[in-house]
Amino acid sequence: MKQLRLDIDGMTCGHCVERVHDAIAAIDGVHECDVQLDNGAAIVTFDDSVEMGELIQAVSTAGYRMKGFSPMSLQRSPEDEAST
Amino acid sequence: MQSVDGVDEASVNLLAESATASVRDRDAAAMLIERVRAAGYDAESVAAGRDLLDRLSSDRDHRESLRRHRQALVQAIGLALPVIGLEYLIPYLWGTGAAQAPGRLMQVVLLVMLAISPAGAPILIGGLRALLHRAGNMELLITTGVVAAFVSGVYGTIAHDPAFIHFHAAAMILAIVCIGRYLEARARGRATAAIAALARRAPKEALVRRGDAWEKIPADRVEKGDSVRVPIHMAIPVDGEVIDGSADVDERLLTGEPMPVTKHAGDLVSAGTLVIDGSIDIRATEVGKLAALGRVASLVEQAQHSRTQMQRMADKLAAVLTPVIVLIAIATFLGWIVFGSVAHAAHGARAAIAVLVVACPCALGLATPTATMVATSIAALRGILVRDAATLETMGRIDTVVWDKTGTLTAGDPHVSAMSTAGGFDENALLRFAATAEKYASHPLGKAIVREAQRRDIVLTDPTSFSSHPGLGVSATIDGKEVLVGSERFLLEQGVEPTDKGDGPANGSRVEVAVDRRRVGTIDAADSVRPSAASAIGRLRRMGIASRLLTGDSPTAADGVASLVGIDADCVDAAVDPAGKRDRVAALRQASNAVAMIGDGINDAAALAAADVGVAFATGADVAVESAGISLVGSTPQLVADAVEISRVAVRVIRENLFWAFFYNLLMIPLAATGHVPPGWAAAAMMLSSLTVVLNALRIPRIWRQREAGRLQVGIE
Repeated sequence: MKQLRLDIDGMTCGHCVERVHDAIAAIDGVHECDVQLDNGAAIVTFDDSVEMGELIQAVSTAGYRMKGFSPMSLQRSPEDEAST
Repeated sequence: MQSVDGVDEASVNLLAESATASVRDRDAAAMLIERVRAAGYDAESVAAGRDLLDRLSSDRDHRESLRRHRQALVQAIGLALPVIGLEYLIPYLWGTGAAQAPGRLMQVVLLVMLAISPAGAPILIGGLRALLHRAGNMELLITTGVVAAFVSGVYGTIAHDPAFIHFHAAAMILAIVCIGRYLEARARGRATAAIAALARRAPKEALVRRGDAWEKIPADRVEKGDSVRVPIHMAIPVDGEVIDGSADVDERLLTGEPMPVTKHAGDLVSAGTLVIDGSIDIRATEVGKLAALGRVASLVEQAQHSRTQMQRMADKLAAVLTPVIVLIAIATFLGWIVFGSVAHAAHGARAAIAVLVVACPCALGLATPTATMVATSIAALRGILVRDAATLETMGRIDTVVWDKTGTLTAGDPHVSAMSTAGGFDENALLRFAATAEKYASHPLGKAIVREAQRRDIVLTDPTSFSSHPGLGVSATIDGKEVLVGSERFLLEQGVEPTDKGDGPANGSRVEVAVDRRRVGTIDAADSVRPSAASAIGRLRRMGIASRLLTGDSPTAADGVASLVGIDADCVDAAVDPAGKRDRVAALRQASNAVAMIGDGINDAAALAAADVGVAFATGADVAVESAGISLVGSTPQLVADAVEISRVAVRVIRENLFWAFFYNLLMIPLAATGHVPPGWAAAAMMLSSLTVVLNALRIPRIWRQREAGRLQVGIE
């Protein structure tokens, strides 16, 4: 299982967050997805069957642009990550 | 129209017999129509763009209109000629005095027939309406003249005093006006054909849901009920209702309002408007083809409605003139009697009629619209879409052109052309790291690197982490190593030591690659310069226009392209970010007559808006196209020079027209008042000025074609 933080451009409201969330969560193998509006980050927890490309594709199909991603260690919860 | 509450701006196009107004809401629109009807005109609301397409795509409509005008013309001439002929024959056939009665009666009958025929009736009824609503217009002036001539003639017939009879003038006026209307209909038909041609040339795309996926299809294949997604920076391809998401939409095209409007589920959106921020899904309510083409059509129609500065003054003048002329005519009549004697009443009547006829300001109303219509239509045939008359005017004045580099002067499709390595890396290793880092980047350079790696069958994994820094480069973690790919500046900012590497490629860009803070190589990507760029810039220079290069790319790449296209090295501004581009353009405006900016991407939108005229390649981002005064369908630099040339020709013709329309008539008024111009000649003079103006405008295509032929012959291309 892996956890990634995606930095996403262009989300301006709750609806946008919802769409990104739904698009990512719909991928087979994604276990958790937490999208935050204020910092444009999506924390995604997924297993090895999911390819990077799928996540990026989901974001762009939702209509947004991914401008970066970084790995996260699974011990921390998304809430902890957000406060750093 | 502008006095109606809720109406922001209104303009009237005499030629197209239509008016455009931007209104706050539907209530304002209804009130507007009511007011227009109250003023004596009939009005029907035609929503911008949509219904227009129905009218446009049926050529039939215009052929019908042309046929009607031609029929009216034939009738008018057919009835007027005998009246005029009789005027000269009567003395021979019937002598003078009371004996003339039969001949005069024939003239009266013919005139009445003319007045009630489809040729004369619209004019006279229009004039009557204007009178009833106390509004001055061209038809009122003509009607007054015709009626005055008629009444005077009837009096003269009854009183057996031929000096009062000017039936031929009345007939001539009506006939001549019919000729003018026929010519106007022809000009309009030509313009319409051009719009239709352009509309067919500019397809747009739409993201449509097909099953679980979204597919890009041409906008005119979207069907009613389809789900269409419109992401950020895209133009809404069809009319629809928002079903998901929310976005800030720029509706300038429809409302003229620069402030974006936020749309949520349930709101309606229109084709051609722009998503500035956010993203929405819509359900198409209007068939794709209609909406997409309607948008282009409405753009060009707007162009034809728009007013230049000079034209606005002329419009005001024409409105004020009508009552003034009537007063002058009355004064003329009285003047002859007062300063002459009652015996001079006939002369007074004759002079007054002449004044009414010769002062008709219809030429003034035609001066700009005809030229604009013709110019925008031949431009459109070329693929040059001019937004409005004011843009045409400004484009004719420019003396400096600022070019964006990537995608404008170059084709925007780079490929890796060279590499250099260091630090124990070979080319393939360098590529592996660089391409992996660029795998999820959207910059054309990054894509070029990835393509080259794929071409060499280099296996790419995913970076562990990745971050893009717009305008600078990308950083990624690959196999535990920190990799940087980007400009020299980017690397320096990230703390990598500088080197004294040689210059970058002549017509491309260079990226530096660093692994764990050590430089391991460079990758050059070449972007081909567009073939017509150099000749376009040379042509502009010969027209007295200087070219400059403005780009976010490196100085080396910029200088390279500049030398290939003929731009002086000191006219190059490189490594400028979007905000900087806007500032540079603003600064240039201070220093020159007028500045045009040519660009194609999102980076250029601000700069395009800052220039006096923004010229966008229509294949680029919609944002750029919407903020530009001129859009070029087909990304050819040569079109820029064409656009300037057409504008210059148009401006020259507009100036000539306004001059003739104004001074010509003005000069004739005192001549008419003092009796030097018989009413018949007055009618001829009035129409001569209208005819001159329209024919002068119709010269534009020929003038331009001659210029082109001249250039080709001399071999300058």
